[in-house]
Amino acid sequence: MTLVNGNLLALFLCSILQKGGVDLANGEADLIACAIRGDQEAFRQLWEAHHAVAMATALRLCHHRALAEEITQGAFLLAWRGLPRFQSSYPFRPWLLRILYRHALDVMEKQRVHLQPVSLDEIMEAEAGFASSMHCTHDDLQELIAQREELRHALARLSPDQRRVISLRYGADLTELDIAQILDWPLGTVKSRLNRARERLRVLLNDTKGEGL
Amino acid sequence: MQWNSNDTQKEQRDLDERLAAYYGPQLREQPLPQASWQSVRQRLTPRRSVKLPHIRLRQRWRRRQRFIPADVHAAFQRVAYESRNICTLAMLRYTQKAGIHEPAVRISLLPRPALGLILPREPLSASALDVLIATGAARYHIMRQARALAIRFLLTSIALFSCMLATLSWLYHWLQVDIPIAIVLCSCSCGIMLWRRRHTALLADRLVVYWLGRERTCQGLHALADHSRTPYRGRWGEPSLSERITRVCATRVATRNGRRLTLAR
Repeated sequence: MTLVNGNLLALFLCSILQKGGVDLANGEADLIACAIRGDQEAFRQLWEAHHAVAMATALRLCHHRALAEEITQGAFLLAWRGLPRFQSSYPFRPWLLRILYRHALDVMEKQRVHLQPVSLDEIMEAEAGFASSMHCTHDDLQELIAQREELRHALARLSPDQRRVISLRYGADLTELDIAQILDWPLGTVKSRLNRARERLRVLLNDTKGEGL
Repeated sequence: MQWNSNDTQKEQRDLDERLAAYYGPQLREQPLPQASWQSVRQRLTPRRSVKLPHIRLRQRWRRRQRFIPADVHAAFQRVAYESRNICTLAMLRYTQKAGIHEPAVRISLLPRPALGLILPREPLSASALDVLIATGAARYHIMRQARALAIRFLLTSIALFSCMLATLSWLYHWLQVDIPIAIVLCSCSCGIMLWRRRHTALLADRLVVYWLGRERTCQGLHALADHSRTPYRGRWGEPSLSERITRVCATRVATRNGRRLTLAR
């Protein structure tokens, strides 16, 4: 019933937007209304407007360009399917990014990204892509790789839920409330899992440091 | 205790910094190549419509209406690109009729799709399609401007009001002068509406020339004239094809089927 109401509302909204001379040809609300009706050209314009930001978000989470592209494409496909349920009074990008975060975490767990070593090329590319450029010497780069590997090993030993929370907290700069909304968890659960994940990481990294000594 | 607490806080800060360094700061936008969109587009599933029993027949009729042939689709994409997306594909409705020879485009500001394309069975050239769709888009763009809408509303209101006044005066035997006044008002407003319609059509032609270029517009107009049996005659309140060709092309050429729109000079 909700789906029926949503579809009828979208049809009504599209017809309202197209009448009476209101110039919304390029407006996002118009594009979304038309995309809900199946207009792929309108959806392409949404892709043009938002895919670059989605790709940057995915790349920051997974550090693999090809995987980030796959995640971005998957997020848009999920958005296409979910558009009839989208409330057009809200902005489109946050809704898209929420889909992207969930999809990225699922894909990363499925493909066990945390078990794959980060390549030197990807680190160099990520350094070049940072908003604030960091110029690293060769020694700095070696040190950076070593630290990343150490942290990656520690993250691999967390539970999947703890990894999700850490990824969203530090890879997407989300607050605990945002994480709770995205993962559909109670706020208390997010806080406790985040604290346990940090504690576990501290222990693992201290153990590693101890072994290194 | 305090030393342990400080130590823990320091460790936490160190861990936060390491995790922030691991993921890195926010990245710049990372545009993807066109091939990425093509990959997404191929996987877009058709929108499944909600099937309610009492509107199934209407949906089937609408589905037939929504079919747009590939050449019309391509022409629309060309025009949309040139006009910087003045209109979207969702606004286009395509109908093919067996009995007509002259293609036409109807513009509507009511709550239904804005550009109604009516084509004959015989195929049209690409330039004719481009000009036809561009003409519709240009007229739609001009007609939906606030000033044009306001004037149209005012004139329609005057015409309706004068008709009502005339009717009521005749029914209730009011002042004798009411009926002639009403007739004059109605005629004037209808006359002005026809003049505005013609003016809009000529303005739209200028916009079409701006989008498509004069040469392509001329080719298209000539191709449309070839399909018309009466290129000298325009629809009610609109310039004829021959007049449009004269204004746009500023040259006069004979049509393909031998009828001369022009005089050789």
